[in-house]
Amino acid sequence: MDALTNEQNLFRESVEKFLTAKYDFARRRKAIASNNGWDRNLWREWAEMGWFSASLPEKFGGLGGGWVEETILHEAFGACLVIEPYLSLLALPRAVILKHGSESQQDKYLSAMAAGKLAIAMALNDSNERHGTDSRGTIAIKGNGCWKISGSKSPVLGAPLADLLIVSASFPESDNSAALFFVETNAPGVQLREYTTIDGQLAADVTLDGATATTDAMLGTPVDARSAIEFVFDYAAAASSIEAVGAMTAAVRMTGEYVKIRRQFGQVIGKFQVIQHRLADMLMELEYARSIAYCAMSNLAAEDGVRARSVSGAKVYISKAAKFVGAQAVQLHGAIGMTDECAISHYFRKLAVYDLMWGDARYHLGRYTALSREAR
Amino acid sequence: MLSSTSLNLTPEDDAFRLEVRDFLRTSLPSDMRERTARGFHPLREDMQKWQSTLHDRGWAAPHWPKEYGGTGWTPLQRLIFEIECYEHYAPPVSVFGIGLIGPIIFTFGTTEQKQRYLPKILSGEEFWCQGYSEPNSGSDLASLKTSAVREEDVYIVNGHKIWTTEAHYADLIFCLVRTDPAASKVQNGISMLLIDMQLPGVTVKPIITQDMGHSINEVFFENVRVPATCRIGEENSGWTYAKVLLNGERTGSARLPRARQDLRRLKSISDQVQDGGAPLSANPDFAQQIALAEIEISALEAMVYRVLNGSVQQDATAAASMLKVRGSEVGQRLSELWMEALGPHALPLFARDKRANDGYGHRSAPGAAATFLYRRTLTIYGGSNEIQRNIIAKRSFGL
Repeated sequence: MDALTNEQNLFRESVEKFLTAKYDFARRRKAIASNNGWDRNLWREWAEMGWFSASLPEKFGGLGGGWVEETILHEAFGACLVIEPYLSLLALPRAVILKHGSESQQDKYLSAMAAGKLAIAMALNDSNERHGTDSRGTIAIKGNGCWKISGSKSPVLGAPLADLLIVSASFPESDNSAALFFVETNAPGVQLREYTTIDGQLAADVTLDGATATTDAMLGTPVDARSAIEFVFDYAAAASSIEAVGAMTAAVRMTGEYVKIRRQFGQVIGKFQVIQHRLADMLMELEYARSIAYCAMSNLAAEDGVRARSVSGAKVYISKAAKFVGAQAVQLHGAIGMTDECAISHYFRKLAVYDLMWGDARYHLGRYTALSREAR
Repeated sequence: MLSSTSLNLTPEDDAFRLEVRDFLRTSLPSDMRERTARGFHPLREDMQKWQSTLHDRGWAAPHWPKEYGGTGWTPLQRLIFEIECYEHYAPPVSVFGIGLIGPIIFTFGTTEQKQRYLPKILSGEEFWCQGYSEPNSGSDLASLKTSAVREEDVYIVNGHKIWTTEAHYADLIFCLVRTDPAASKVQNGISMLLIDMQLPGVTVKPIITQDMGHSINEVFFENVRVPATCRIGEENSGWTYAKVLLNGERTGSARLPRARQDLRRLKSISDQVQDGGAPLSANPDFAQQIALAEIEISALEAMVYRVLNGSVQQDATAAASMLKVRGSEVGQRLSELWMEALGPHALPLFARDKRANDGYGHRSAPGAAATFLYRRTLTIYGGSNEIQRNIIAKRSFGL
């Protein structure tokens, strides 16, 4: 990220200040235990403070910021392990609606989302797929003035809290075409099996059995649907990378503090060189991860090929970094680090989830390699 | 990778890049280019001639202040310049003269010292080497024992320096010497002297490294009489001058331009080496190894960019250490991948006529093995990577 402008700095300070004061670890544990997935009052408060409109174009009532403001939010949410699904229910659907939605869809949804009154979950991953940009397991059949959609999607992050779903489906008549549809969460034929993920998010398996999407509920066109789905995955991979960077920043800081108070063999363990070097390695991985994450985030608006390579490269790098930092943060804490009462275990879980969602390192390395071959 | 998207090059920067490229195409002799591309330790003649070409163009010392002969370029322009020089296989600029002692002299030296030494560093007439390490003072540099005893207006220097790169090319050596053996803290008894290699009592002995090349040396001092006017700054303050990050080249230790060139070479080797009837680059496993290396270099590049624009929130010394560690690791990794790519074709070292280095083995191999062998130095010199980690732990965590 380039040096921030004054306004961006103020925004960052206010976000960090708010979360530090009101979103401590005890609050997070309480939120997870409540099984609600979010605190609606807090969600509305963030909307009122303008967090949800920071990067929204002015014509939709937003403040006209860009990727820097989003980076500030994702990083702070990651650092504080915020349970409210900002990425899943807001940033991600907003990004794809902005890029591929019709004018009427944009008017209908964007300002309501920014006001905290509408939440949309992304139902993309077919239940039988590891990495679901394909969506061949979910089909859309033309019905009477509508589309009938059938298939199953999992995991759908935030689905139990969502008013709407954006569902990817393909057309059985034409082999390779697909589309995205808006489907109401409580529409007939939509069934949710809800659960909590290992990092405390609320999610669901979503089954669609002839669920209805009206004809104007297609997002974009079948022509650009594949590229829209790729875009969503790239956006999510980049934004979740920023969250991971935020989480790693906190985990590294906490581990650095812990080794200065934990005593063994008559001295604090931070005196041991093996501990010092491990921390130095963690910090290095973090700073390189941060660098490449910002780069990917800034490339989300670039042309498809540049964006895809940048995001895949970053995901490969940061997955490695996240695994290392997460595991070593627990290791340097010792046994206490893997208890539920110790925040470090929550960071470990967050980073483990990061690695697996939106394409793991293996997927992105394969994609990066293929894109490199094409580029030659 | 240094595309407009990742480094946000302005049209001015792009024009600058073209200007540099144009200069390199017209001014760099092809035989010099060939030798550099083939991985020899650069010849003194080549370095000298190239330095004088740069000097004539006004580009001798990009990171020096303008008043001392610098170019006034922005940090990004300096990086672009360096990348272009690498891409065209220009001989490296002297690390010790332009890179290290020049900035120490213009920052801490007397007016006489500046006038005596700086012009000849810029023009390439005089070469320097660095006398820091000793046989028993490697990572623990402050324990050094080479003594300098003041006798009226000279110091009598006795001792033994080692691992001295390019001492066999050098006209002068900047040395850390012990001037106060009784100082309460060893760091406080060290001074820095600028010593003429031609003085009686200075002997250079070559060290041949595992690449069978001659880059480094031992330097012996036996009752060498060094004028006291050749001391930098105060007596017993030499440690401070040596350790300050002076030259404004905060990202130099990442060696990003080298890494980018290394990657190009890896791709070129793996396109040329056949693996079961097809180029190795088409092998999916190896293609992934190349991709991983490229991603590492992208991270290095992104970090360099953040350091350049001042957005890294870490202590500057710690950030420089992070760049050194990763830059050296990447340099080693890429040379390992060349070897993996070449397989048995990596075996030939040098032709019997060492300056020809051609006409044998696989066409993409010459120089690769020697470079791989020599690159074990990268994680050892300039403060070993273990020392760099100590620095990061101390600066960033207060440990």
